Amino acid sequence: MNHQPADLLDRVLADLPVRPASVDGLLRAGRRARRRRRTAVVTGVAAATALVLAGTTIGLGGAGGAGGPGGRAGLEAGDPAAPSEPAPVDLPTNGWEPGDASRLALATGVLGLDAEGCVVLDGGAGSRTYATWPAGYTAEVEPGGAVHLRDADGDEVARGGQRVRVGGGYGSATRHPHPCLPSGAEVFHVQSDVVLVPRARATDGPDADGEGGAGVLLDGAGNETLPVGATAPLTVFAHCGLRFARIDATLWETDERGNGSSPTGSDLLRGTATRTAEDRVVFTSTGLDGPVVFQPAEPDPDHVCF
Amino acid sequence: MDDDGDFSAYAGARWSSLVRSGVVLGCTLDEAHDLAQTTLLRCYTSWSRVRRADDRDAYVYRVLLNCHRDSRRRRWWGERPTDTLPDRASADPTGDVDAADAVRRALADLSPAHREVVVLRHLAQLSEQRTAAVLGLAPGTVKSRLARALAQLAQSPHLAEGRRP
Repeated sequence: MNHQPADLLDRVLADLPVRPASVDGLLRAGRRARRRRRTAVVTGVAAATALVLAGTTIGLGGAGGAGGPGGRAGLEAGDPAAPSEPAPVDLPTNGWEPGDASRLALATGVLGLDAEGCVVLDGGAGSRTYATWPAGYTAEVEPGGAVHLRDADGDEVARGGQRVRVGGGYGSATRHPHPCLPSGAEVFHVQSDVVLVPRARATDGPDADGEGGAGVLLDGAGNETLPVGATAPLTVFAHCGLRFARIDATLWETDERGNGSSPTGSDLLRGTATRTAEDRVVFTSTGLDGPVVFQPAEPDPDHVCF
Repeated sequence: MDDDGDFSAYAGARWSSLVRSGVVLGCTLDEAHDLAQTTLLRCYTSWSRVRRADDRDAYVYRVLLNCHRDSRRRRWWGERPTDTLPDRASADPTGDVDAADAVRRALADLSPAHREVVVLRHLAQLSEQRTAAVLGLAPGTVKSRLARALAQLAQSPHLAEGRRP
């Protein structure tokens, strides 16, 4: 063995600035992975049992038809054979848990089911987004056909017909083959909590409602109501820089800060707003150099980051 | 020692070698950290099996190679969630990039198969027989690939140049 190049390689590799190992982080992530694997095994056993039982029923001349991948085919309203209890929907999950890092894309749509009984986000005009959901998320469909989406704690986070917004990223479904994910197509991997988007009022432009932006995350009281003389918490979406804000349910504007990125590094700036006049709001937030003055703005159709 | 303690000791001891192996395989430094983390995470979920393995390093580095091959096939999933968010102030990384870039340039002419042999023989320090078993090759093939890889490295003008003074 020629040691010269091997020694040189050793020396070059020794120069690599390897960051310290986060063994504690690995242990925490590993324990979560083990829990998920155990859950998957239990779910798989339950599914296999259900398949055996279903096969037995069919073999005995039962009337139970095979369901779609979502597991709800045949559960039509008024069907006397339909059970009175909600039926679980086969929901694809991706293992993300609160506290994990996540990608920053946003997706919106109306929660619903496709013809196969799979959960989809309906974007309107025929567009439809299939998604993988955070770890522990489940869905069930009522005998009447309404779908309910629940988080890992079993709490309902959305139901069929509601518009939701989720964070995460688009990608292939290759890593998570699932009967409810279109093979080879792009799906959205949800890496956030599910947030309900209020229906747009007829008088609201898309900018004011946050349609296509982060309006639903604007959870400060001042985002919805801020009369003259009042002070209230305000949240500003600054992903593309600090410029626009939803205040008192309308669009406001300030001199741009951040040069296209959040001036503090955080997409959501939470602070306090005081409306000092009909057309003047003063906003303060930790991390900003000083108070920011907003004034009413005209919607800007070229700006998509509200 | 329980599984967690054993895993922690092993991960702490092999972390640097696993990251450097990732760079040798062609990863950027950040990708190499991700690869080492993914490898150890996958091993942790089956740590009792890793402990029972005849050669623990052979097992873990086989996982490393598999994770790397997977990551090349599935580029979209290159980013994995971590507990530590990268959004924080950091020092000027120019020197770090230079060091990683020197390795990448030095190894640029090596094929993926040659890189894998270098990782197993040189960084994991597996025997020829063990390396052959991990890669599913004849020991003679391992020997010839390593010889060719080192010969190519000896010709690389970047290997010596890339070193920091």
